[in-house]
Amino acid sequence: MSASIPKYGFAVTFALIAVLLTALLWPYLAETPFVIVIGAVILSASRGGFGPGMLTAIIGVLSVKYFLIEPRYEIIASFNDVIQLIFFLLLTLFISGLEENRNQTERALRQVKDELETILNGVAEGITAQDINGKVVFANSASALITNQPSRTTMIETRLEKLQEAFEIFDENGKPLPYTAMPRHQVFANGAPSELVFQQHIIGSDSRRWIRLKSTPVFDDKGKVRLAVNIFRDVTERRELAIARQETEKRLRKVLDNMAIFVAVLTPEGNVIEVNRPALEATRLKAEDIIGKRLDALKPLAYSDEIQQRIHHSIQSAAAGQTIRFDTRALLAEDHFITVDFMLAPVYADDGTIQYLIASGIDITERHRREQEILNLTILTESQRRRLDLIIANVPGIVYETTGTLEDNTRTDFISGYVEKLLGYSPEEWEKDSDFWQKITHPDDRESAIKQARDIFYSGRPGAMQFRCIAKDGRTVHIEAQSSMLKDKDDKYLGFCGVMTDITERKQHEESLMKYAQELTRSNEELSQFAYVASHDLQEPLRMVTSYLQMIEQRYKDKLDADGIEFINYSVDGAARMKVLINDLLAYSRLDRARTPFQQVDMDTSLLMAIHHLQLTIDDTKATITHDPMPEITANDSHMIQLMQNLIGNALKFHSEAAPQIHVGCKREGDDWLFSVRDNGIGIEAEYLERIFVIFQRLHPRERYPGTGIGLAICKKIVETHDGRIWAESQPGIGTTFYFTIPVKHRKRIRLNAEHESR
Amino acid sequence: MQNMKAVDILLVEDNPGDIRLTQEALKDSKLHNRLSVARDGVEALAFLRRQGEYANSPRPDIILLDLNLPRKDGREVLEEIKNDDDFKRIPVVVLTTSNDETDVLASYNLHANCYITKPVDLNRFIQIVKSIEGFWFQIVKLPPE
Repeated sequence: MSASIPKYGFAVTFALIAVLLTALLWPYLAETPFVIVIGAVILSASRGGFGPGMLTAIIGVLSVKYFLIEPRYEIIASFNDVIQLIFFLLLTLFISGLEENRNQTERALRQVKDELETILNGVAEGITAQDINGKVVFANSASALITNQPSRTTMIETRLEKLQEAFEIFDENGKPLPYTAMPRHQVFANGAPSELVFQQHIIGSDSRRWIRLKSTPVFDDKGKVRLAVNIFRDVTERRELAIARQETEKRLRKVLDNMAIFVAVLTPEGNVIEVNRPALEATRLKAEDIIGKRLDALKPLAYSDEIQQRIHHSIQSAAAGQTIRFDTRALLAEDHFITVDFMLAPVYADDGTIQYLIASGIDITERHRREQEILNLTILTESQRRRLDLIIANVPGIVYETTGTLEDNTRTDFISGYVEKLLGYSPEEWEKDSDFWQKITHPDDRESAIKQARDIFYSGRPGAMQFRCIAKDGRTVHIEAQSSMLKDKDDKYLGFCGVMTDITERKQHEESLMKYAQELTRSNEELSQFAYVASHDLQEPLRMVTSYLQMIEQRYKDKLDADGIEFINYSVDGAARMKVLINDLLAYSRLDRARTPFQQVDMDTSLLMAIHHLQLTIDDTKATITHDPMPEITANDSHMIQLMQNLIGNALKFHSEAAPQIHVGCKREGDDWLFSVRDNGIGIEAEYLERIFVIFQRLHPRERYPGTGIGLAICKKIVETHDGRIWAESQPGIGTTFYFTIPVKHRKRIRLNAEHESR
Repeated sequence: MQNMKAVDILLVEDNPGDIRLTQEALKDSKLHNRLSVARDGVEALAFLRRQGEYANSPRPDIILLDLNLPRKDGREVLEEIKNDDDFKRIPVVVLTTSNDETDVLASYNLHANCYITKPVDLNRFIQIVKSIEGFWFQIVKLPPE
């Protein structure tokens, strides 16, 4: 309502002005007195609408009629007046209707413009429009914000130069830029859009902002660029984000290139799109050799059909969403394989589809080797331990380990279960009492056992001790404990370990052996006693017989007849032979090995001595004796003389019709000296060749070949004493050869008490 | 020679046959000899020491000693004689049947003056006894009494 008052005010004013003007111009308007009023009505109606129009029409018309045409007091005097009123009524109606329509259109337009501006002001991008002179003809709120202006109107109202003074601009590298670099200049020059990213520094602030500005031309009807519309925004954050992303990417790349893992990025189809440096270096390939190729076509992984198939299937599985991992071998160069922990895993995009496959490999050659070693070692250790347990459990002895010294705190840390079997005591009984072994040691052996233990302890060397133990059931068991010191790698004493074995049987054997030895010694003594008796006590009565028979012969010669003398002779002869027999037996019994010292013997000398002893017989039989060069041997000197003497004597004795020819030979045969005594005597029948060495064996009657039958037996015993052999080869009527061997080197002579001496 | 003082010989011998043979051998000796006989080692030492019935026995100029004797054998007798300052200078001739080396060695080790094995042959025996007499009384200079 308040708005309509001015409209009616204007209507009255227009009416009065129209009346006034009509009055003034009345002479020119006599024909058309209402022209000006019509104009005022149009004006009023167009401005205020139907009401004000009608008011102006009534006031104007009535005033003109009353004051100018004739003063009248009725409003409607004639039909003409009614026509006039209707005319104005219609005119006003028409004009006001026209105006109302126009106003509506304008309001709509204004609303559109307001909405547009609201939208533009709500946009984050700064939007301005500049004409060719750079004058800002439009600016939105964001543009003021970005350019640090108080409001968008100041943008439009402020001069360009002043606006530009508020900030300076720099290019991407930080170099100052002139304002002519702004894209609008390009737009006006080329009529094409232009873009620029620059840094903007608002004077008075301490920050630079990154601005992206795009300028677009707006053409007029003639196709000329009328305006440049700038759309710009602050891209600082986005740019920083981009730079940060770039940095991250670089860093990731560095990480990728510097880790000890081979990495390749694949498409889900398996084509390589990225590969890291270690992988290139290891394979000595270039990125271009790999990028774009299928992973399962790369030589280091596809050196055999089998592994190629496996990689191929892995790609398929990974592309289906699985993560594949296995150890495989990669061929780096000719024959140079490494073991790789290979993994192929899918990487998903935000939409859940598989974007890439990541193939990675870790060189585990060394680890693999070590693991294998440890595994082998573990297996070995395990099997060794098991074997050791088995050995300890089955060894026929008590395995033990003690710590502490003898004087201080001996403790049995371990004792094998055999102790129970051997002595009846359980390992627990043994282990809980440090002096247990002393307690079960036979009282008579206790002192000696402790001394033995102490000796081993202080010698620091392995040693054996022997003592008797009283078993749980009262048996006496002979024990031998083999002990060694346990030391750590720094030679520090830890304790003792060893095995105790039951030597009861051995001890019994030793005792019986000792008894046998004593028996043997006694028997040997008896034998030599017997030999002595033979040499002395048997000969004395013999001498008596001989002497007194001879005495009878001499004293009573004239009283004896021929028979008497012959009988006496037989008796004397028998006694004499008995003496020889006794002497030979004695010699034979004295061939005692233990009493035969060996020395270096020159066999030349021995042979000569033997020949010398036989000289009388040699002369009698006119024998010739030849010999090979004789060696020096290790033997008993007097035995060798005796041996040669007996053999040569034998050859001389059993000679044939011809004069004896005897050859003594010698040659080296392997480890032996082989001696031979060859004659041309009567020879020996083959069947007797063995028997001749048996004592008292005779092949011929005594009358023809005298002798006791002991000679060759003595030879055999001498040779056997020297670890040799003796035998004879013979052809009756042609001759006999005796052979014997003497070892070049004698094995160590066994003595009955050797064991005791070595202790 | 006939005027020479008689020589005293002590024969230590248990076998009467040998005693008789020795006596027979010495019977035709040119030397005037006195043969005393001890039948075992104990007797021999008693004789030397003039103990008991041997209180008046002469000190022998030579001893013919058999080794195997009853009671105390020849080796012990030899040892005692040679360890006795009064008797050790008296020549001891070991006259025995044994030709055992150990006997020979043992005898000499006990300072026997000589060792003779009795031969089986009668004549050899007689000859040996005569030789002993001839050697020890006509050749050897014996220590003064």
